Amino acid sequence: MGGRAIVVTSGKGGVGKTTSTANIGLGLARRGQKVALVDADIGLRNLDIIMGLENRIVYHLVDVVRGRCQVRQALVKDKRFPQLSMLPASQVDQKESITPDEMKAVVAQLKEDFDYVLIDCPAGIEQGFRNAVAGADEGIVITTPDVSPVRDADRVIGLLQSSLGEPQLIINRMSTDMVKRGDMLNQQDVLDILAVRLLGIVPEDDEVVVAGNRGSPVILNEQSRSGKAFDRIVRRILGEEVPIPELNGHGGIMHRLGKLFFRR
Amino acid sequence: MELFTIKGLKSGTTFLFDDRASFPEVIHAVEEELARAKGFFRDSPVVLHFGERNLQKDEWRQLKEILHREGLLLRYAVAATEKSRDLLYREGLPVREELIVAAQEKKTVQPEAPEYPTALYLRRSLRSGQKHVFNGDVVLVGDVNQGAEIIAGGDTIVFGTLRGVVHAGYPDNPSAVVVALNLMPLQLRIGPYIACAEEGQLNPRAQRPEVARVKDERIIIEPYQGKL
Repeated sequence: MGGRAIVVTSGKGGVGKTTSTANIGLGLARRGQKVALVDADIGLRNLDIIMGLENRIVYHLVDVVRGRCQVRQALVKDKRFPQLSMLPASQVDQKESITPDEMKAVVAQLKEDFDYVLIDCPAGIEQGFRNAVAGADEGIVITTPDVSPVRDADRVIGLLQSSLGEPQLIINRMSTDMVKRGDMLNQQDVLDILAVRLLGIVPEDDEVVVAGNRGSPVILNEQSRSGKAFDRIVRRILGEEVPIPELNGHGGIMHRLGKLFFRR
Repeated sequence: MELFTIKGLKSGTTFLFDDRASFPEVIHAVEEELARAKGFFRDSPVVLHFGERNLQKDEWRQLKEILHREGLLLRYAVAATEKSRDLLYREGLPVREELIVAAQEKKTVQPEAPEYPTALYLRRSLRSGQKHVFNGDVVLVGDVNQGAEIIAGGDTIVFGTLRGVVHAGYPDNPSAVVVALNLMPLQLRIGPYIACAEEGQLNPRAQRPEVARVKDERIIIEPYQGKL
């Protein structure tokens, strides 16, 4: 038995995988779940910075795989929520330093002690991606409502479908102004192409940038719209039916498109 | 036209013999082809098509030797000239003046005589990075996303939205067509012709089913009027 291992991936870089992993992880921990975050971006680790834990790293993922330490020793406890721990990536190694099977073994160990294991996947579809996916039972694909990331997301969904089944989708950095001007794809455009279940939409929000630089994920900020969106996503992951609100300037209007956007 | 071709026609496997070249040349081509086939046609029923050739008795005997050696079952022969038909009939072979479906020209695509025995039917969408290659007609019920590709020897029918790349009539059949409920491909290729999507359109949506075909040496797109 054990926990749910979820890989957070996208194909495209810079669309919000690490941000989403951090915020969803914190949100779940805040609601009482035991959560482990795994940074699978060996060589270009970022999860530690976003979480504000970069100064607490002693051991990392490659150390664990090589047997230089126990998993327990490499896990960094979050400074805010003790139920949350992070397994950092190595900054000095490369993606090829571990194999999918090795990753699978590490994640299996974590699943025994945690309710949720969130795996922050690197950009791309090569070895780093294969490693990150190897340990997971489910997938969340992140995209922004733009042509290039959506195509990458489509590719990734195609790759995940055969191994993990259909992933769920988060549309990140949605800007209603740009959509109105026709400069950005809207929700329906994205879903027409990707045709997977929508887990949530996170609006464009400057607070996210600030949060990243400060190491304090935005879900902790009661005022931020994106933080609230992440919290709704957390609730949906926990099984609650939370409607996706209409994202316009004054927010909070119930979406009228019914069943298509409600989580089961 | 080749000296000797083997076709999988609706009327069955058919051996077509060039009717203008010298018979020794044709025989040589037959032996080569069959040697290459490595016994693939053993016990296969085949139709022999001689076209306009005036077949001589010794020529037929020579050919019959080879065909029997290969273990072929001769169903019937098709010959346009009465002389050939007479000869073959006296030699014990059922004869016809024509095939039920005439398909002698390699480049002609006739609705009753498809050059390929089957069509590929796909009941799914193709995501970016997925590709299908098929030596015949392709029917896909679903979408073809940007970054996905279909390469078909014949027609390509997409019962959904086509955003990717389709190459119909591959490699050089310009009479193939592409039909889609929502025709918005990045690029369209029919035989040797190619057409690219207009630039700068974020998400153009066609309003109706359309068909792309070659007319006057270019690919044109027309509304699909219910039949091809």
